[in-house]
Amino acid sequence: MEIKEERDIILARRLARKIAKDLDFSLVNQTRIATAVSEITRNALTHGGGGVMKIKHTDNKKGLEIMISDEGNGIPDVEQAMRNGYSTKDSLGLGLGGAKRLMDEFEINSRVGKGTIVTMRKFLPRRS
Amino acid sequence: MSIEGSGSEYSLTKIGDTLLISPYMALHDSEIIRMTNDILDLLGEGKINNLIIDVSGIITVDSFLIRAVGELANSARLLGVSVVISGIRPDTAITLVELGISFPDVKTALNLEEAMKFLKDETS
Repeated sequence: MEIKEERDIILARRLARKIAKDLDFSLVNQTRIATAVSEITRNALTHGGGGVMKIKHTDNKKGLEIMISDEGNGIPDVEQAMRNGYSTKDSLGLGLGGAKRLMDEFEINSRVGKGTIVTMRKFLPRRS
Repeated sequence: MSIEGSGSEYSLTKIGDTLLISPYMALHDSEIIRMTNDILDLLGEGKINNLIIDVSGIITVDSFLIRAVGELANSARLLGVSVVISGIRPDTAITLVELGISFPDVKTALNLEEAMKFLKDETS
């Protein structure tokens, strides 16, 4: 789905939560996923000028994969951005670092002048 | 008790000198900012001594909302108003901590009843 305006942040996290719920993720994990989506789509809108989110099941329906991309200015120093935490009021850094902690896998690909792609995955706990 | 006002997304209720804010659905970022400004204006009138922000109606509490609420709480305290945030669910609490957000200075309560009890104990 497209992330074009503020309302889309809410719609994006609702969609992510619904898909997570359908996959039988626990409530806590549904909230983790919805919150991570909220943070990254907000980044895409606020810093990236808008973008696109794609969600799909991982193989065997054991989890989900969310990709959020934008064609904004890109992040010059991703590591630096992720190190900045809440105290520096850097919403970008907080969102990135926070989302990474909430998800199981987190990849970010950013090129100055080209844009940013964030790919994150969460897996269902294995049943013994 | 009186209803001070409401958008289509939140209600403001005055109970004595306590103001209760209850968003009952997700708010856009700019709606959140407008709501907090409206509340600060109300607090500036000086008739409110206690503020309860109840977030139980919000399904996903993310960093923007919790930061706006935290700043509202800090501003309110500067105006001499006691603030309690109520209605944070356990899954939200875990997620916020993992996000790296904490509010050491802001009082929280599990629900409205606890919030009102706390404020009553504070003033007596």
